[in-house]
Amino acid sequence: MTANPDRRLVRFGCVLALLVLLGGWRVQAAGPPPRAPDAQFTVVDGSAHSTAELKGSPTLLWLLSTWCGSCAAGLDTLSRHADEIAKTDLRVVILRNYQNGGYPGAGIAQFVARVIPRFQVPDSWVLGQASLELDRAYNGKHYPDIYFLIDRQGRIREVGGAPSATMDRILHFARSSG
Amino acid sequence: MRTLIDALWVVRAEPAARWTALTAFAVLLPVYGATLPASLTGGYIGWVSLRLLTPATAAIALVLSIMLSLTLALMVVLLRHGQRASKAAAAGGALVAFVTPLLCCTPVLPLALGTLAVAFPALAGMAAGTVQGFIATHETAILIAAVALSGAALYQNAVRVARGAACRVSRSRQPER
Repeated sequence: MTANPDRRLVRFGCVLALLVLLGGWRVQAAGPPPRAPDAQFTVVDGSAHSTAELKGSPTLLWLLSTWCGSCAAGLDTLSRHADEIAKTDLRVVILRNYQNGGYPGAGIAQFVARVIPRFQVPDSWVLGQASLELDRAYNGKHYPDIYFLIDRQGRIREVGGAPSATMDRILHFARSSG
Repeated sequence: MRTLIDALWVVRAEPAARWTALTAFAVLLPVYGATLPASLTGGYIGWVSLRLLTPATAAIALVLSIMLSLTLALMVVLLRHGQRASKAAAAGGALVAFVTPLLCCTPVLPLALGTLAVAFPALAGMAAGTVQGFIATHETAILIAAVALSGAALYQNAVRVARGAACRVSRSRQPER
């Protein structure tokens, strides 16, 4: 007996949806790693740095791809809250994903200049490029838009995405870490 | 165009079809209005995505909602008259417009590929970013294609309604002369 092609498609869709849900659950169940792994990144002036240097200040470490719409919207949202962020100790580190997440696009400096042309990026904000090592340590699943809220002790307190939708969580972390 | 207007007059005359159009529009407009900006919110749907609705996205949501609700109303007319409705293009347009914003910048595709790679290791090397990047950079074109598909579905069903039931009688079943 052969199954109707429509039914087979529905069954395949259901199995795929279940697998995605299970995958999501697994990510949720595993939770964020207790300590932010040490990994290299390069800032726009070309100098190499390590995430180990981020200890001492609460940090927003945001990995984005410059083709991603939610990343552009998130950067715009972040710039609108720059004054609120400046009142806290939060350090903002924005890194372009390794190889831009697998699809070509602008460099991080051009991306920032295009999305928020009139915004003066504060000196406390770091713009750069993630290394393969950092990509493997922080973004093994290659999400185009993912951020980590890291406390003064270098522990990852929260993992999220799309600051355009979750800015209140970032601000809450910044205020509570002050 | 004349065909479409004739078909819409039939919809207007039939209460069941009229109510289907109104109900579908009332449901589809907020759904598309909240879903289309999801590419800017990383998949979050709700008030937060409605806040990021641009005039262009709102126009696409409005056009899609009108076309799909009229298509559904025409389908109701066809089914009530014992005719077959054209469903493939309508389903395609509705699905493409709904899924595109959710695939481009959310964890859905990386999670799906990562999970599928367990069963199909060949997929492990396929970076979700390649697909997501393509969708993100061609989102407008994909949404226009969805609008075109919905337009095609509307026209196909309008032609069937305007021609009436007679055209569906196959030649082989007509009495021999």
